[in-house]
Amino acid sequence: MGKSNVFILSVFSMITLCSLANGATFKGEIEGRYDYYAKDSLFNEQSDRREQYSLATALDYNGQISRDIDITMSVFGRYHPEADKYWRGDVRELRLSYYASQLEVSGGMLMERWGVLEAFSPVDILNPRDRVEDFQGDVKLGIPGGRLSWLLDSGRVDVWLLPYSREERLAEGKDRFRTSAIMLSDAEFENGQNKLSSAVRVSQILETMEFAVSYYNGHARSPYFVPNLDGVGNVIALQPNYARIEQAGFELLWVRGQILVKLESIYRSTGDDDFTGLGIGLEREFPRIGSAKNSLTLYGEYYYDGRESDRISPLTPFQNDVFLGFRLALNDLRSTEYELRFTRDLDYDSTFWDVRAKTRIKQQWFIEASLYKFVHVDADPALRSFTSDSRLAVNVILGF
Amino acid sequence: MKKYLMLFVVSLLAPFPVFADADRGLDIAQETQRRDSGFGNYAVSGTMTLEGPGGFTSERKFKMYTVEVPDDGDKRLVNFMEPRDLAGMVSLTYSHGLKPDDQWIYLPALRRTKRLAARDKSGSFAGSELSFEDIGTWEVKKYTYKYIKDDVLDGKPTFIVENTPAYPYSSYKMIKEWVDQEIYHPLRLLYHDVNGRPLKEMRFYDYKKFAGKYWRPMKMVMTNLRTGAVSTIVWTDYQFGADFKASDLNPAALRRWSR
Repeated sequence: MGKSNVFILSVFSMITLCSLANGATFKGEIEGRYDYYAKDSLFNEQSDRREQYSLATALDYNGQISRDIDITMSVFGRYHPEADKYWRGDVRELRLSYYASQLEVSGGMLMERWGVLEAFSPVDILNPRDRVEDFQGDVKLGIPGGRLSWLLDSGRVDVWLLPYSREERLAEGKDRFRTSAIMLSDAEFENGQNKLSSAVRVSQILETMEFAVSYYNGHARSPYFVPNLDGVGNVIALQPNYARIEQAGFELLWVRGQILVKLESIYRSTGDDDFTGLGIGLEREFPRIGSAKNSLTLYGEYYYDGRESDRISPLTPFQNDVFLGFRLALNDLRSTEYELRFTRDLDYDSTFWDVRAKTRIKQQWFIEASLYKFVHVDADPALRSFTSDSRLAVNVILGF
Repeated sequence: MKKYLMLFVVSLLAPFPVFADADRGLDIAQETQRRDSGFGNYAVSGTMTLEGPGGFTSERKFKMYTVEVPDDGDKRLVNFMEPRDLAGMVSLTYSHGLKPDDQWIYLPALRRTKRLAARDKSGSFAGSELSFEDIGTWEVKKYTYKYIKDDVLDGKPTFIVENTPAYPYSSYKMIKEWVDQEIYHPLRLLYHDVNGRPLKEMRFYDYKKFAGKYWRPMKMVMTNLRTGAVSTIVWTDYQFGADFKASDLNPAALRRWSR
């Protein structure tokens, strides 16, 4: 039975289980998005339209099959005429879960989140990213597998078995936010895509201190690229390669008065490159500015990553970077929020500005806007291909 | 001479009514605590309507779960159902009396449980006029008490008591409370800001008795006295002795609640 047949069978099985569920909640949203790019595209194949429109929908379902068993589904799809693939989507989550007093068992398509930092979580390894939907990697793809969890009094132990490795979704062809001008060939996994990956994470809360340790053994979630050459040595394509890695992670969060102190570190071992990564940060919230209900949260983070760029580890934009964030929530009836995010690369003096705003225009209608601005990224190997991709995006969303 | 002697006698006696008022205020608080202790846990559904000065309204629906912790502050979990941008969000607070609370929030879009710094509890609860301090569970040791006088409110005899926060990071200087003399629960709270000026008023309506002992309001109305903004919570479906345990209100299990 092929992969696609297994997937279709799984989806139909889940839909059948959904029909058995009662006490179900179903919610979703439809989004219309307008993008305006300040410059023409950098690469020839990319769409030359500076104004682009797309439509997206997201559906979330949760149904109780019994008191201890439920099914959760989260699917997403976007129609984007100026993208390389007009239609794209993902089953981000489709899992059947059993809950006992101290035990949880989940299987299906999983969506997991590790880490404590705001701009980037070095430890967060399980789900591959959807870089077409969001080049920063905040949007993730579902990963098939199972999770077994033990709940402790003040923490939990989770074990994952992941029998299939998915590729990261990379921009190519007509897409903006491409990382290279060269086309991509089929991906290669070091031990085959069906090689089992596994992970364990132990998290614990000790009053004002929280920490977690994790270990992952499996394919990397981001690829390095191997040039495919023609007969005379010209590069005709880049092949995404997913190396087998081991990664140990540590997370720490410490509440100090109104300040959160955060730390994440990793040690990653690949075939011929072992390195450490580190992120440290502070978060300070001012819950009330003056007598108004406005709250302001400030973030300051620093990232270091010791990988060698000429080895097989993929590039990371967070190798020696400072991040500052300001989030203002008006806490008004419209749930209005503004956010300013600034990332500065200390090696290449490149800067990325990310300004966001959102508000509710009716009970179920929302409007969001975001502005990405890349400044002096020409020398930054992780960002230089985005030099023409500074963008304003406006989303109108209907929730139901 | 007689006048000065009288002043001397009055000055000697003056402290006694103050102590008596403090003792009586504390007695009233302790009686409230005595009558309300032993409930174990309860769950209740809330519909909160926010009304802004411009007439714009917005509604939030949530379910609140409270577990009594005898030797510490109570544990409280709030699970939001509406509106769409809050649906699935879960907040969990471990109240600690005079120590800062422990607080977490589960953000469903990110599948992330996030620890919050909760020393300052003045932040708005879901955009309402209520702060996290206002929705926190009440405990005797959180305040010092001063009985002022008896009064009548909405036809009911009440004690007026001034509650002064003992928590050093409170956003209030004093909360004036009208306590129903029959059921020993508040009918009105008048919040004074750190400068001592009236800031907000909370009114409690339609108290009903549950599990044969515990009185709870069916409606609460918070009014911001400066802006005129009003937040109304209508409570329904109180369940005492509900089917959940203290260990279920665990920050490591918030994703379970977001269903």
